[in-house]
Amino acid sequence: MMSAAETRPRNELIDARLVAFLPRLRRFCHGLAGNADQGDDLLQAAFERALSRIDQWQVGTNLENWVFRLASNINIDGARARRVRGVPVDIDEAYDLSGDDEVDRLEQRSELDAVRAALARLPVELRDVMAAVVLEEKSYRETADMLDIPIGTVMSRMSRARQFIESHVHRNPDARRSA
Amino acid sequence: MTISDDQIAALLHGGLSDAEASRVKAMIEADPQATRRLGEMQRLDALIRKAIPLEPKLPPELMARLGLDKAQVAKSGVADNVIDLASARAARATAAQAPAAQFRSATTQRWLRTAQAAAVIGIAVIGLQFMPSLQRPNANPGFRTLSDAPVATAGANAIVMFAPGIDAGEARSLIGATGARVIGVPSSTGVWQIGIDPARRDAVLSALRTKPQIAMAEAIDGAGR
Repeated sequence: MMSAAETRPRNELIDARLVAFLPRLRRFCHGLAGNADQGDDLLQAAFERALSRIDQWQVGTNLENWVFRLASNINIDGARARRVRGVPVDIDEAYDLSGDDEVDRLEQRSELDAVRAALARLPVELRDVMAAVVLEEKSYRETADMLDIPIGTVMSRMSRARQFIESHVHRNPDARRSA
Repeated sequence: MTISDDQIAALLHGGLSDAEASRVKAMIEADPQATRRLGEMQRLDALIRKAIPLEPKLPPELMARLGLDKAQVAKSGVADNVIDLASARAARATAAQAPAAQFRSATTQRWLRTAQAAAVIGIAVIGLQFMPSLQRPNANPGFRTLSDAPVATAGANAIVMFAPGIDAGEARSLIGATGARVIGVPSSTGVWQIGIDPARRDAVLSALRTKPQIAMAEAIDGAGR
């Protein structure tokens, strides 16, 4: 076991762990970004940041959770920057569930499509919890630890995320499954 | 007593103590509507996972963006660009004065420098030192960071790591098909030590690197290049 005084050299074993972790990180980034293309951009940013800041990872702590948190922070920072620049972001459109039902009905042919559309419009502040709990199948406590937020916040955001996705799916008549 | 969506969701996502979970489970079992609601939540979670599936391998173009292009490494001429220990130490001392610039520069070159350094640094333990790690003034080439990293075993002159999802049987078959032999057992981090005829090592490692099942294949004793 390394002592606290030992520096954090990035060696082959840590790099190997990061490489082995990439598929899960990629899926998590897709969940954060809302689509695959932006998810891969986020993956690249997170991977490069992890490599360049590996000194900041504390030995004995969960390396993967540290990288997940980096990705989440990059995503949130990007969303804030877009708001500052006045770029329309999902958070302004996401709760507008009226007005484009006709278009959505044409575009969404299945429940799965409806879920994908909902995920793309999910407010950014709910995405990291959704990705951690549903995609990574972490418990509320594990998610709270990973994202460094209170467990009550995890529960609240997960509840809102679920309501958002369900309402988006249920309002699409083509996506509703028969009882 | 009516059971709420939050309670059902908490049960689903491990948000309850054992006692609370038992109580909520009993309530759900006694309430058909709650049972149906639990099923709906599980189904929605499954749909979300299906909408964003876990793909075990990254596409080659994405690997290249991350600087993990095996073809690039193979074409880098690593075997022709030998670095001796003294140069590696000098590079570490120099780079320590500007580590940020080194880290920010050419991520795509990181793996190339890694392989170059590994080719000549004859370390006893399995700890291929990537160039960026050598640049830290306190880095010890022989120091193992993870306590369970295996010591290089006699006869092993290369290491291999596999992409996620490859089981041990397939791993052994892949290695055996090249004429190489597995030495010992893989480490807990998935590093396999293998022994290759020194005269064929470069060719075998190059062939392994072209396989999608292989995440890394590198020499570890610096000999034969």
